[in-house]
Amino acid sequence: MAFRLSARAGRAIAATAGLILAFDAAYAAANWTVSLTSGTTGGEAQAASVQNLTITASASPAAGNLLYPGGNGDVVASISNPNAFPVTITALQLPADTVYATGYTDSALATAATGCDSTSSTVTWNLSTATSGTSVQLTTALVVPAEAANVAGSLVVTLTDEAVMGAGAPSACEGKYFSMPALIGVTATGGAATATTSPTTDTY
Amino acid sequence: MSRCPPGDPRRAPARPGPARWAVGLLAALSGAASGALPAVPQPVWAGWAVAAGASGGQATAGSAPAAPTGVSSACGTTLLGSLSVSWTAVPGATSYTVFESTTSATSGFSLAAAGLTGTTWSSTFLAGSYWFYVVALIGSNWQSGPSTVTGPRQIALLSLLCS
Repeated sequence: MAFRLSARAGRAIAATAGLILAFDAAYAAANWTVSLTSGTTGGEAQAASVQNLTITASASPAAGNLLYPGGNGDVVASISNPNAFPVTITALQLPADTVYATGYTDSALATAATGCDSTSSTVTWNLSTATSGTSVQLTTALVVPAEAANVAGSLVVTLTDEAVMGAGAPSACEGKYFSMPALIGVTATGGAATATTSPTTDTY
Repeated sequence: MSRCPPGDPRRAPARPGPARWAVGLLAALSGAASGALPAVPQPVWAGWAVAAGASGGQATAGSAPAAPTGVSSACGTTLLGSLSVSWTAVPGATSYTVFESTTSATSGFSLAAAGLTGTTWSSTFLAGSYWFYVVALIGSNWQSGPSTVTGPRQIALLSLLCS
C-alpha cells in the first residue's frame, strides 16, 4: 500500500531530519573525550547545542579521609556546566589504573613533588582497571546547575574514599596533594524538567 | 482559538531545553503516527572537553605519624648478654618496629623486630659490641621516622656483662 504525504507532513519530516542531523553532530562532538580548549572544539554545531562539562580539582573543602598506603581517601572535584540547562550525572567512566595521580607539595597543585609522580605514586581511582573506560554508577545522581548570566553552573562534590593508594606507595608521597587522572567521561542527562538538589558528597 | 491561561491543564507543556528539542520532536512525530505520545527520553551522552593536563579531582595523602618518644635501652636483669628496649606508647599506633646497629649512632641500622604491639622488646645472646637502637611506629599503614637513638650499651665479649 502506498501513502502520499501531504506538503505539510513533508515539511515537518524535512525539518525534523535536519534537527536530528544537528543533534547527531552535537552528540558526536560531545563524545570527543579530550580537547585543548574547554567546550569549543565542536564548532558551530556544538556551540548551538550540548556543550561539554569541565571537571577540575578543588582544594576546598579539604578531603576528610586522607590517603595512606593500602588505604582509600576522598576526591574533591569541581564540575562546571556551560549549558543553559542543568545536567544530571549518573555514572563516571574511569581512566585506566596504569597511570597514577601526580603528587604536589601544595594544595594549589602548582609544585610537583619529587619521587611521587604519575609513574610512582600508586594513587588511582577506586575500582579502576587496566582497561580505560570502566563505568561506575554513582550512588546518588549529581545535578550540576545551569549556566546563568553567562556564568557556568558549578558543583563541588566530595567523592568519599574513591581514591586509593597502593600499599607500596613511596614515602615521598607522604602529606602530598594529588591531581587525580582525568576521567574518561560521564553518563549524564541534560534538560531535566524538574530541578533537584545535588548532594555535596557522593560515592560509587 | 483562545490561549490557555497558565496552570490550565489543557495548556501545552513547557518547551523542553535545547538538548531535548530534537529528541522531543522525533518522539512527537512517531507518537502521532501511532496515535499516542510516548514518553520523551532525555538525551544521554558521555565525555566532556578538558583543558590539557586537566584533573579528575583532588586527593590528599596523610602525613607519617610522629616517631615514638621516651626510647631507652637497659641491661637485662635476669640473663647475661641481654638488653631490653622500651618506649612510650603512642595513641593510634598500630605496631612498632625496632632497628639496631653495632656500627654507630648514625649508620648501620637493620631491622631487629617488627609488628610489636607492646612498649618493650628484649634481645639476648649479644656479645662483644656496642648496641644502638631506634624505634619507629606504624600508624595508618605509614611508618614514622626513627626515634632518637638510644645511648650505646656494651656487652663484654667473655663475661657477657652489660654496661
